[in-house]
Amino acid sequence: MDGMILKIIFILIKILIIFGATMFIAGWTTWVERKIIGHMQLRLGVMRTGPHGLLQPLADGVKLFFKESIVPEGCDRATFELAPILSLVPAIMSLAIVPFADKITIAGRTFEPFVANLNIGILYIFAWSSLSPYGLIFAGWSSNNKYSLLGSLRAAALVISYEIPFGFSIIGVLMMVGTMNLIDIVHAQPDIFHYFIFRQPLAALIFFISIVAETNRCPLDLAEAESELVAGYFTEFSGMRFSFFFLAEYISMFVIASMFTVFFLGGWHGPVLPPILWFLIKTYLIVISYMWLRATLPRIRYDQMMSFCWKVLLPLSILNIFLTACYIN
Amino acid sequence: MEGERRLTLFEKLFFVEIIKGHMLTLRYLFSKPFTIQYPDEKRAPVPKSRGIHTFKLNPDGTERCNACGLCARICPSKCMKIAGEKIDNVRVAKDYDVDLTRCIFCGMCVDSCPKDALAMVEAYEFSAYDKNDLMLDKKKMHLYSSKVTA
Repeated sequence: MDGMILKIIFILIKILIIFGATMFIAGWTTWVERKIIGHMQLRLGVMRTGPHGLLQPLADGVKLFFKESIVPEGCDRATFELAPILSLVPAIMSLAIVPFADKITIAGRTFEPFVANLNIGILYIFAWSSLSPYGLIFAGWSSNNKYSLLGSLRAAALVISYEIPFGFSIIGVLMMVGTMNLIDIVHAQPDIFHYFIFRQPLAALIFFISIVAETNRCPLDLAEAESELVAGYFTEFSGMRFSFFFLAEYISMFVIASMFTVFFLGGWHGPVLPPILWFLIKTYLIVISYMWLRATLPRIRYDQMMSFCWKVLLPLSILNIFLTACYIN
Repeated sequence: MEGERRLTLFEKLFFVEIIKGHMLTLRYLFSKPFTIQYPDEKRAPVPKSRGIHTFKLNPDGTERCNACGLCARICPSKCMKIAGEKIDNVRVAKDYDVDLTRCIFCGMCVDSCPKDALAMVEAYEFSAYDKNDLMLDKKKMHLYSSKVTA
C-alpha cells in the first residue's frame, strides 16, 4: 500500500516537472521565435525588456494575466468558456507519452523519464491531436463573429484533411518496426544509419508538411491568417483565454516536433551528450525549422492547400506504404 | 501569362525555389540587422539638414540681426514674430519669437536674411511635454549659437 502511494507521488512529481518545463520552454520559445524571425528580416526583434528582450515572455504573461477577459455580446457562453480549454488540454495530454529518454537505473531503482509508456502510443497521439479541431470550431462558433467562424471552418477542414497524410506517413514506419510503442520505435533507430529519415525519406517529408498544417503554422496557417481574418478563430478572445490558445499552439508544436524526433530522428540516441539533451536538441531543431519556414514562405491559398493535401500528399503517402510493403517482403 | 516562368518537374519535386528562399533567410539570419536602437543610439543627421533655428553671432559675441523682418515676411507658415528697437542708434531685435509647432523647417528665413544672422542647426528632436517648450524666444535662440561657425 505504501509502495503504491509512493509510486503515485512519484508520478505526480514527474508530471509536475514535465508540465512546468514545457510551460517554461513554450514561453521562451515565443522569444526565440520573435528573435529568429526578426533577424531573418534584418530586424532585431524584442530588445527593450531585459537584456536582448529576454524578459519579454514574462512581461507578456503578466500583461495577459491582468487583462480583462472580454466576453462578446451574443456569444454562446458555455462553448466560449470551453473552447480555450478544449484546445489546451489535448496539447498537454499528448505530453504524457513523449519519451524524453530511455529507462535509467540509478542505485538499483529504474527511473523512467516519461509519464506513461503506452503500447498504443501512436494511437494516443492521434486521438488527442484529432480532438483539437473541436477547440477551433467551438471558438469560431461561439464568438458570434463571421470572420472567426470562417477561420475556424478553414482550420477544421484543414486539420481534418491533413490528418490523413499525417497518419498514413507513419504507417511506413510502423510496418518496418512492427509496434505502436514509441519507445520501441526509438529503440529501432540505434544509430544515424538507422534513423527513419533516411530509411523513409518520403514519409518524413509528408509528415513534416502535415505537421505544419496540424499545428496551424505559417505557411499553412489559414486558421489565423492575420491579414485576411484578423486573428482567425480567436479574434474575440482576450486575456487568459487568449493565452490558452497561444500556449496550446506552442505546446502542440513541441509535442508534434518531438513526435518527428521519435519517428524519424532516432529519439534520444546520439553520441557524447546525455540522451535527454539529444532529444531536446533534436526537437528544438524541428521547432526552429518551423520558424524558418514562417520567416521564408508566404501563406498558401486555401484551395491550393486543399488540393495539395488530397491530390499530392495523400497519393504519395499511399505510394509510400506500397513501396514499404514491397521492400519488407 | 507573359513573363511567367513555369517550374520544371525537377524544381517541383525537389522544392528548388523553396530551398533557395530558405538559404536567403538563413543568410539574413547571420547578417547585421538594419535596426537603429533609437533612444540609445542616435542616427547622425545628414549634413546641412535643417533643424532648430539659432542666431549666427559676430566673433565678439554680438547678434547680427537688425530686425528687418524679412524672415517673418517670407515665412510660408507665418510662425515668426519680430520686433525691433534702437539702442545707441543701432537697430537690434527686441523680440524674436519662432513657433516651432507651426514651423515647416523650409529654411527660407535663413536664405532670405540679408545680414546672414540666422542659421539652422542639425538638432532634430523636438518632443516636449509642454507646448511652451516649443516656442522659441530670443533667449532660446541662443541655445545652439555656439555650434554655428560665423
